[in-house]
Formats: sequence, structure tokens, C-alpha cells
Amino acid sequence: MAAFLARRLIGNRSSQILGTSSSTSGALISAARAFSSSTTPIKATLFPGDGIGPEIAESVKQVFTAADVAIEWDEHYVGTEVDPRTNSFLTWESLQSVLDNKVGLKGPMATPIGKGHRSLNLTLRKELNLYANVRPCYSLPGYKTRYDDVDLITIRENTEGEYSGLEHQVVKGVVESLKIITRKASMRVAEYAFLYAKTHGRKKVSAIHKANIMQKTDGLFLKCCDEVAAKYPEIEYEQVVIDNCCMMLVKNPALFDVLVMPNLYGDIISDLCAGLVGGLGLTPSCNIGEDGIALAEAVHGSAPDIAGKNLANPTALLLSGVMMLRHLKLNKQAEQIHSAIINTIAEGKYRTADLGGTSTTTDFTNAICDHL
Amino acid sequence: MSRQSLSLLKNLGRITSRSGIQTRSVTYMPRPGDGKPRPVTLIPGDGIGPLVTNAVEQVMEAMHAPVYFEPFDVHGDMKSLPEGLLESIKKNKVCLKGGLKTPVGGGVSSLNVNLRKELDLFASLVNCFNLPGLASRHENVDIVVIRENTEGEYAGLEHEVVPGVVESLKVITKFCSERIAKYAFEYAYLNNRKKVTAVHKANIMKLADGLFLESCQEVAKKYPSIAYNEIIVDNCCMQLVARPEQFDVMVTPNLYGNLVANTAAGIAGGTGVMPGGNVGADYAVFEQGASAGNVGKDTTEEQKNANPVALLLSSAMMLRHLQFPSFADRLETSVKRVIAEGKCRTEDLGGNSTTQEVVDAVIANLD
Repeated sequence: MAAFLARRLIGNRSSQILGTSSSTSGALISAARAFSSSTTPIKATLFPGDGIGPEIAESVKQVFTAADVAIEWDEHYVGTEVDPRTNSFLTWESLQSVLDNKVGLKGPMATPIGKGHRSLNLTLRKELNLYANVRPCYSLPGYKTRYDDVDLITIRENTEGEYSGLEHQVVKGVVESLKIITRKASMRVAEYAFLYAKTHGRKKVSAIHKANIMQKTDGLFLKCCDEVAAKYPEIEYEQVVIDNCCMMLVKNPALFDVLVMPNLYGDIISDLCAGLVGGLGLTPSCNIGEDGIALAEAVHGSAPDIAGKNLANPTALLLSGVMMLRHLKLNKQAEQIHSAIINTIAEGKYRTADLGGTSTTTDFTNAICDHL
Repeated sequence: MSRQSLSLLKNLGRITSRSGIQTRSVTYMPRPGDGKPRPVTLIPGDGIGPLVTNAVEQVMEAMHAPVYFEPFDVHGDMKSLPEGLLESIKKNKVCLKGGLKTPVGGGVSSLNVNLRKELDLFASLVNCFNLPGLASRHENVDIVVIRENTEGEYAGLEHEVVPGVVESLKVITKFCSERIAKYAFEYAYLNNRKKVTAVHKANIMKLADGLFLESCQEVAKKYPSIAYNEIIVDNCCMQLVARPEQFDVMVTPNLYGNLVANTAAGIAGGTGVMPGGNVGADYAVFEQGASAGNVGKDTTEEQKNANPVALLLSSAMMLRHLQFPSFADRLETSVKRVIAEGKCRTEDLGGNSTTQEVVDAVIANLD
């Protein structure tokens, strides 16, 4: 809707003003937002989620208000019964809201057990066509892990590959599982990876594969990456076999910058990288969909055992919120909030229990607001 | 020096005398004629392969080990395994191998994989452990990764459905899953290991990895004294990086095994030092532990500073397989001493020795 307004405002010169980047229409939408942010607040969907979700969502709202970010939150909760229109606990209205607003922030959602409905993550992914999962992993100064110099971004293809869910039993005791790689999905994620590298000033993109064994499938993925790489001569490009990549990551993560991978490898590598910097409790993540949809999310669990006790660490959700702001091109405020979070953790005075400190969620949030 | 040797030799169960020379506690009794030299097929391979297999040949020669090598010229870009190679391995039952370089996307199927399938070497074993004296970010690592070697994602069954859409079949059978699970638990039992962890992604690939898990669970019931648990592969990699000491023996299907073995090798010191091998019901092929298809960089080959430690330790495993335990122990002890001393290390371990210098040091340190 914002794009529609923007086009009417700019008129026929829209293509000139908004540039000729045809790779993703995300650029179009983001530029359109730049026009609206100074006058009207941007609407963003917020899924607080379950467990510690609501508390950390409150933290995000508090910090964003303190930083004068002009965002109007459109909150949605997971329903208590299955909505027949979506065949899951997420209502049609929630999904429509993300499709309209184009940006969202999602807290941890506990997947209800049972049959007859789709999992929440699967619903979001399919309905919103979220094709790339972006996870920046960098060492937080002041929080010591065994690795100090990690600064990389994993971009994972999120729709196909080994997770197509197509399995069948051929005869008793023999199961086949299909791994699908298509040119369309591989080009899409490769384009996004190089665009991301360019807009964020990254120097190198590594395509991770096992094409020496899976020659046609990963071979196709690599071909697509090669084609896109040719269009960005200023960005260094390399291909790394996945087993080599794992070894290099745990020995010397500074060797990598941006990694782009098909689904399964992406799942494993992005969790491995999260482990290098301190775990899922500190890792931001953003899912990119068609038409410039971005759904930032915290990938940790809902931690029901500490829910409601003001002990949760909001860092993952806050950093995901920062990713969302960068997607919206609100870079100044993104940088402000990001620095505040880093400085608070680096200082070490206010840390939540999972980082080895004794602060409550509210203390930590207040400290970040003070650092702004 | 003796205290250092003591810690090195703790696992071998020997008593060390003050001067560092080991004395046995109880001897082993060979059968008459066991000392007859055994033939072993040798595949030097590509890249750094010839360099490191030559290192093993030199050390075997220096020890006067009852082993002689029958070399075969194999290269990764050959369309199929050469004539006579399979006969030789079937006759000798044991093979030592350097890496074979598989061309990426080249339409030639990997000869490393072909060899394993032809000989039905269904279990690949990699031992990842901290070497005393070799600093790494993680302590207390002693993991054995047992990986199914014949099916799974490496079935090699791919086809293009329509232009731009490619399918690859991952095949999991009860037969293969059961035998690798049995091998893993048997290994744990024979080597006094306390825990076996199955690595999977059954929350997503419910039928395929589900079948693998089912097989592991059934075998686990037959070994009640060995603890058994399951872990999802992405969490597994995260845990390996955070707390590797929680893992003991890991059993995995083909692809995850490759990743887990390389990750575990990386945290314990690198693929340059981890031993490993492939074993089937009838034959055994020993090669560098993880990343066996990695033939090293061109610069490593030119400068001749490839790390021979992995293949030397694998050849120690081979000597034990051939039932020459005291030669195996001497070789292992010498290699560990060289690493512990730290004076002679190749580039991947942070030093600047050449392969030959390391080999000379190992030979000099042999008891």
C-alpha cells in the first residue's frame, strides 16, 4: 500500500527516482518508505509470541520509542484454535497484516503439538513466500566466547532443497526423500545475497555446496551463483565445499564474510555460526519474502520456565528489530540502537542471567535506553 | 620428560620407566608365522596424496614393519577405477589411500565414493581428539564419528525433471541403517566407550531420518550399559562448538556424518591430524580422517609442506587392524612426541616445517 501511495506521489518519474535495480522489488518498496517515514509512522506487524515473547517485545517497543523510531506496531497473537482459512493457529488477519505492512517482527512461538494443522513457521514461510533467511553473526565485544573475530552473515535458501517434505516409502524398509533445487529459487537467493553484500558493504560472497558429490543439484545452485557473481565484479566470489567450510569455520571464522547456501547446509551452518558467537539467545535473524517483505525474528525458544519473571534476555529480538530498521533504510536509528546494545553488553554492568549477570529484563532495557 | 610420556601413554596402559622407555605390563602372544610381511594396497592419489603416503612408506621402512605396499596409480579424474585395483584390495583385504580429487560438477562421479561402494565399506570412522601439546580452542575433545558410507544423500541418483528443476534422491534403508547402528554400538562396546549419540534431522525428514533413528533405537536396546541419546544435526553442530566434551561416539547418516566429522576435526586441531578409515565386512581402507577428498592446496603440494600426521596415525590404526599392535604403539607414540615437542610442525598447525622434516622427526623419535 505504501508503494502505491509512493508511486502516485512521484508520478511517472518513479522508475528514475527509485533506481533501476530490478533484482528485487524490495529496493522499490524500501525507497518508497523513505518518503513516508518523515511524515507518517510506518506500520509494522508485531508477533510477541509465547513464553518470554511478550516481555521481550515490550523491551523492543520501549527502546524504539526512546530512540524516536516512527513505527506503529500492529500486534497479533497466535490464536487458541485452528483457523480453517490458514489451517494453522495463525489467523488470516495476522497473515494479511504482514502482507500489507511488508515488515514484521516475530518473537518465539511455541509450536502446538498435534496433527491436523500446519506448524506456525511453515505457515508463515509458505503464505508469505519467505525465500531467504539472513543471519548476521558477529562476536559481541565484552561477551567472551572462544572466538573473538567472527563477523559473517549466513544467507540460506528457505523454500526448497532437502526440506521440500517429499518423502515416501518405496518398499518396507526403503525410504526415499527428494531434494529439489530449482533455477528460480537459486537465482532468487543468489541475487539477494549479492544485493545484500553490496548494500551492506561486504567484500566477499562464498557459495557453499557439495557439488563434487551432488553434481546436478548443487551444480545448478552453483551455476546460478556464478551467473549472479558475474554481475557484481567488485565483490569477491568463491565456492567452498561444505565439509571444508565447517572445518574452516571452527578453525578460523575470520576467513568468511557472506555465505550463501541451499536449505539444509544453511540450517546447519547458521546454527554453527550462532554457536560461535554465543548461542541462539544473541542471534538476530530476518526472513526475506517476495515483494520486499521482511519478517525479522528471534530464533531462540519461548523459554516457558522463565516466562513472566522479568529474567529474559531481549538481545536477540532487539538485534532482529535493528535488522528490520536497516531493511526499512532507517539506518541512523538502526545504528544508534545497535551501538547502545553493544555498549551495554560490553560495559558488563547490566547483563541478564544467560550472559552470566544478574540484571532483570527491565534493568537491561533501561540501560540500553540510557546508552542511546 | 617421563611425566609427559606418562600422560601420553596413559591410554595405552603401560608403565613408563624414569628414562621414558616404555615397558609392557603384560605381553601379547602372537601366533607362529604372524611376522610374515603382509601386503597392503597403496593408492597415492592426487595433490598431496603421494607426499603423505610416501611419508608412511618411509616410516614403515624405518620401523621394519612387516608390511609391504603394492602401489596403484589412481587419479580423481579417471572415469572408473583402474583394472587390477579392486582385485588387489580383495586379495590383500587392506588398503592405504591418499585423497582423490573429484572435479566439481564435472560429470565424473567421485572415485572416493565409488571405491567405498564397490567394496561395501559401509562404516567410515574418524577419531577426533586433542593432541597433547597442540593448542586448540576446545579441551577434552575425544569424539569418534561413525558415519554410514554407502547410501543417504550420496546415492548419486539425480536427474533434471524439466530444465531448471533438478531432483536428487536421498535413500535410507533399514538394512544399511541397522548395520551402521550395530557397528557403532559394537565399536563402543569393544573400546569401552560410554555413550552413543545419533545425529539426525527427523523433525523435518520424518520418514528418512525417522527410519535411521528407529534402527538406532532398536540396536541401543541390546546394549543397555551404553547410554544412547539423539540430537538434531543443527543443534549438534552448535553444541560441538560450545561444549564438545559432551560427545563420545556419534553415529550418523552419510551427509551429516561428513559435516559433523569435519566440524569435530576442526575443533580438535584440524583435518591434518585426525586419523580415520573405512571398514566393511571384508575389507578396510585407511585414509586421512575427515575431508578425505581434500587434496590440499596447490601451494601445499608445491612447497611440500603437507601434514603427514593424519595419515601416519591412520596407518597406526591399520597396523592394529593387521594385528601388529606394538608397531602401532611405537608409531603413535613417536608421532605424539613430535607434536607435543612442537618444534616440527607443518603450516596448518602453525609451524613452517616441510613434510620431510616431520617424517625425519618421527623416525628419529621411534623407540
